Amino acid sequence: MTSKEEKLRKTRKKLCELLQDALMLELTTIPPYATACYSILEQGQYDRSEPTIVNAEPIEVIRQVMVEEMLHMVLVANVLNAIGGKPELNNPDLLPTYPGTLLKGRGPTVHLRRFCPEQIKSFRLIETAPKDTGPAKKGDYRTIGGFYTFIMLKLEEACDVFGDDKIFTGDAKRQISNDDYFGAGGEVIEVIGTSTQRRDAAMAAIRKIMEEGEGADMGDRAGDKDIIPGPEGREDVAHYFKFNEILHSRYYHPDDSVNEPPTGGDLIVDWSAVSPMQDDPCESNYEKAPELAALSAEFNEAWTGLLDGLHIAFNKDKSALRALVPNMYNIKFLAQKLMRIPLPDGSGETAGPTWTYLVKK
Amino acid sequence: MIAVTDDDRTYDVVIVGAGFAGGILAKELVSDGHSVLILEAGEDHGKTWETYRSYLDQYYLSLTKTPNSPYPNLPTLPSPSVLDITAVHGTEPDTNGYFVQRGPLPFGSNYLMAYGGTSLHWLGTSLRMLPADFEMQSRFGLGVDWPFKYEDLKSDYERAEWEIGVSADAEEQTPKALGIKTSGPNDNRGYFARDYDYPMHSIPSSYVDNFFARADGMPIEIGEDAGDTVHLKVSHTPQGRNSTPRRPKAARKILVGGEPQEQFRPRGSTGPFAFMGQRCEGNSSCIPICPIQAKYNAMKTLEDAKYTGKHRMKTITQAVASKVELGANGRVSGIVYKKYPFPGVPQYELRRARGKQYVLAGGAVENVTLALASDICRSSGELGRNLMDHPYMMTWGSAPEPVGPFRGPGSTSSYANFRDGTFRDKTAAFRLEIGNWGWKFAAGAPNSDVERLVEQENLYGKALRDKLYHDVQRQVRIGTLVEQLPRATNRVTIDPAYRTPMGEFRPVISYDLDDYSRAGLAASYDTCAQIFQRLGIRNHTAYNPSDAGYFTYEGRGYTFFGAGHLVGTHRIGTDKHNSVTNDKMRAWDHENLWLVGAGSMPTIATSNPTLTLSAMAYRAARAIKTAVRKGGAA
Amino acid sequence: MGTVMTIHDETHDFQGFLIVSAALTGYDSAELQGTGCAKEYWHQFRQVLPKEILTEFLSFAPALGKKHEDKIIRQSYLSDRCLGPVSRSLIQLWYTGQWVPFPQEWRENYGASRFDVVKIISTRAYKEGLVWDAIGAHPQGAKQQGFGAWSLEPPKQRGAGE
Repeated sequence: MTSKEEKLRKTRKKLCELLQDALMLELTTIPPYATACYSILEQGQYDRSEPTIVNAEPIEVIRQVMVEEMLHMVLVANVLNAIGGKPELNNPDLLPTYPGTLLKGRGPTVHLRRFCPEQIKSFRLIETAPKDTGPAKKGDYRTIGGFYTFIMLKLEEACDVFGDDKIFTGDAKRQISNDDYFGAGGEVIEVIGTSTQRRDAAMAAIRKIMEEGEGADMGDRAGDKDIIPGPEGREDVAHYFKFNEILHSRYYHPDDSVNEPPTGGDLIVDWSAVSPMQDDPCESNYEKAPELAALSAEFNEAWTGLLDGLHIAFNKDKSALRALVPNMYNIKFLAQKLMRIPLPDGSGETAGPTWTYLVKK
Repeated sequence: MIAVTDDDRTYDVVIVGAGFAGGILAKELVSDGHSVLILEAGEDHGKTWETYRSYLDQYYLSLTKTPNSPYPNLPTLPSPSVLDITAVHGTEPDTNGYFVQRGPLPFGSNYLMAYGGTSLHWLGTSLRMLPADFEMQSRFGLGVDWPFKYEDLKSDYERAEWEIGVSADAEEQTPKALGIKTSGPNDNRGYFARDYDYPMHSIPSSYVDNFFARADGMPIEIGEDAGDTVHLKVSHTPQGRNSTPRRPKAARKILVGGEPQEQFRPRGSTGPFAFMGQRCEGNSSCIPICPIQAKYNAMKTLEDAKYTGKHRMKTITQAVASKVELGANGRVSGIVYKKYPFPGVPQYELRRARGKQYVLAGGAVENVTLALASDICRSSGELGRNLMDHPYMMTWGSAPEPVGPFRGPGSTSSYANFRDGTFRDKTAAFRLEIGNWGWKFAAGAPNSDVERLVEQENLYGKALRDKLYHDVQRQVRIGTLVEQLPRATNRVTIDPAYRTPMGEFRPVISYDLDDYSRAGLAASYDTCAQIFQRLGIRNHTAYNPSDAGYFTYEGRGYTFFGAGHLVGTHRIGTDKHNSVTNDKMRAWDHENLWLVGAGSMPTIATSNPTLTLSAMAYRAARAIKTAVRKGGAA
Repeated sequence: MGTVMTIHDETHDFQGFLIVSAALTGYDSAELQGTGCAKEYWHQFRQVLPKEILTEFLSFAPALGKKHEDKIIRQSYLSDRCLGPVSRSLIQLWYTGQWVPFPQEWRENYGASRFDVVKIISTRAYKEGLVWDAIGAHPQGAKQQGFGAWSLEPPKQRGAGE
């Protein structure tokens, strides 16, 4: 092997590792977002003394972030597959546990907590844009935006040094398209075509992830360039701003600035209509309650099934995605079930999902 | 006499009714630069997302989840309810509900008076009619011919399919592909235009559909000669609910009404929930309410109209049109309406709306009561007559294995084989709709199963749970929608003795099934029985003489219900003696008055009328645009 | 002291309610609490039952979950003139979220309550009716399964073969 080939091999390996890390990064955010979202009680006007429907909106705001994170996983997998990598979704050594840190300790710590202001603030922190991408470009990234900036840089470098065709060598059959996946999170970008087209598509996919997370122009504006379906064709806002909307009980306009509070309409939040789930639920709390342990196991089986299914969809058979939709909803309903069951310790807190991947024996 | 206050503004077009037809007309007219006023008798269900969500809550809490159950039934503005249907006895009319029923059979259909109209609780079935359906008199010597043919409505069907957002694949929907032995030799040719396809792919088949598809190919004799025998085929039903958008083939875009279209963008919920409902999520409650609005409703088109029209478009809800006033030469000079500030309280202000052109789009019954009350459109004598519906009959049974009911849209497929054929000279055509919700409509499942197993079979605990799974998982149901012919005696009238608390006339309905439809229902029952035999389904169908819709045919008894497809009461035609309006839906008697909606259809055939009435709204819209441009001159 | 006793009794009675409910419905008490409706149903139950009947209803709870459970349920609950209708209404409450009023005869014998009327307890009660889980479906209009889920093979019977 010539030294150039060896260098190419190493570069490709490094790129694959970075994208695999990105995949895990996106995955890591989903359980905390989902847990907070599912802990919110949506109450109808007939269930309360006041004739208002509460918390439907914060549920929807977090749900939108969540489905976009799922889309981001698909986008990362498409880029990784396009460069001939193998997205791993069910390797227990790589999968997140909670509490845990993002970016292998460089980013913030994430917990599984119920819907409360501290948790939403921590979500906002996760989606914060880097103030200065200078250090990130040198590999010193501490935010998600910084990390993707670094990946884009490395990918471009590799393409420039070795040629697009040496980098984008993946099988086009592995690319997930809009026909394969619909998660309400927006359009899937397929990394297909000539090697130049694939390079452009890969960059576009990563930029889309960054815009939806931290906002267009990395945080200067609230908008994320996605168009909200409907006659008005309004622009959607990025995740950071969506979490801020909840904290301010007010919607953003896409042109609102990151430095100013939102200026849109009211968004009613009732922080009290929430299941009192214990922080960072763990299996050991269910040892004395076999019925709870059984439900928790049922949840983890569903979660494991989802990860296994995604692994198959990204590596073998795209059609597996459709069958995962009921699985995702099942995860939601099992999580909600757990969050309604009081813990046997008499604390008044309830159980919750642990999001544990069950290793096959 | 209470004084009538005139509205300040005169519009190009005043439309009564914010439903399917009113929505499309408004959108078309404002897009062309005209100003539009919509008067809607009901409340605005879509004004805020809270309103829509509160109807969902109302649905959860309703003991009987009927089509109208989520929506307010105001004493001031009653809507017909399926719960009010009882048998009509003797000469006294049945006045239980909003309808005054003269019989001899009860008219079992309902509709909803609200912003968005009955589109709020329709199932979503979006079928085109077949070529034969426009030529019933020429082909079979029955009913009447339409003043135009299938070919003439084809491009408007395309427009309606793209407005509603219909999910289907054209190649699966030609009469031939559906397994129909058409009565005309050329009916299959050019059924879809060459460069046309639906905006979204078919909604996936249900597991129940696939179970029934095991009988595909089975021969069924229908009619008198062997040549009429059809071979069963389960086919996708085109539906106005969001599925996967079709990607136009790179070079050739899809032509819709001759216009090339970009890929369709599914529209979901209103307000902050716009990201919901871009795909059907299988909430299994299309009737009466789609929680995420993945099913089309007219509020979407009305939103477009509002957005496009801005100041040109005005909607007044809680405004009951009470009288169409005439000026010189029989032209309409204004519409008097009752604006009530408090839903449910019969206090109102009388106002007058003025426009250059006036459109009645309140549905086949309300259009007629308003016209009769205003003493207009009388010269043909056809106003209010020819009321048609799809008499709806169910057969139900237990499949030999679990089939996964109570999942997905109410129906995703049907046997369309019997929608046309030479048998139609003696027997009504019909469509067999495969139900996805077990015995929900037939017997109130699954709650009725819980009651039966607990109260009668004395089950509890695990055994109860297991038996519920066993019984309900096997529930299958087929619904028959049979055609009716236009009959002068099936009609809507008014009677000063019957009024609402607001003083409006209640519809007085006379209704019966003729032998043509009864023969169709009997044939469909026999077909269902054969399908059950073929698939090993135990038949549980029971028709009881005490049922409100019980009738007999050739010594056997059946029960029918209404399908909510109210058609025919102000039909289009070729002259002022055989019809209420011309083929553009302009009233023969009143130059600037238009009657639109399913009431315009001369025959009902076997397709649910929504798509056809929507297509016809485009036809009317073009003529109204021309009329507005020409101004008052005849 | 009195307050403490009441709270204790309350908790104890509520636990008893869950135990009897579990035996009658075939769902364990964690599953029942997982509906989020246990407290609402307990409230409804206390509103419609005279105190002594409630006490009797709960008195067999300690004996459940052991041998002869079927005999206790059939003899002391289902075939009892007083507790039979009570049990059947309770089963239906858990399965459908709807309160089924007692028969006229029962009311004449044991007393009528103004809360003993037909109603769906709450929107959650409708959505959490056990019947939907039992039949392998989801409540119509809620807990949707996602696009195309209706094409998939029906779910197996939960708990089958245990």
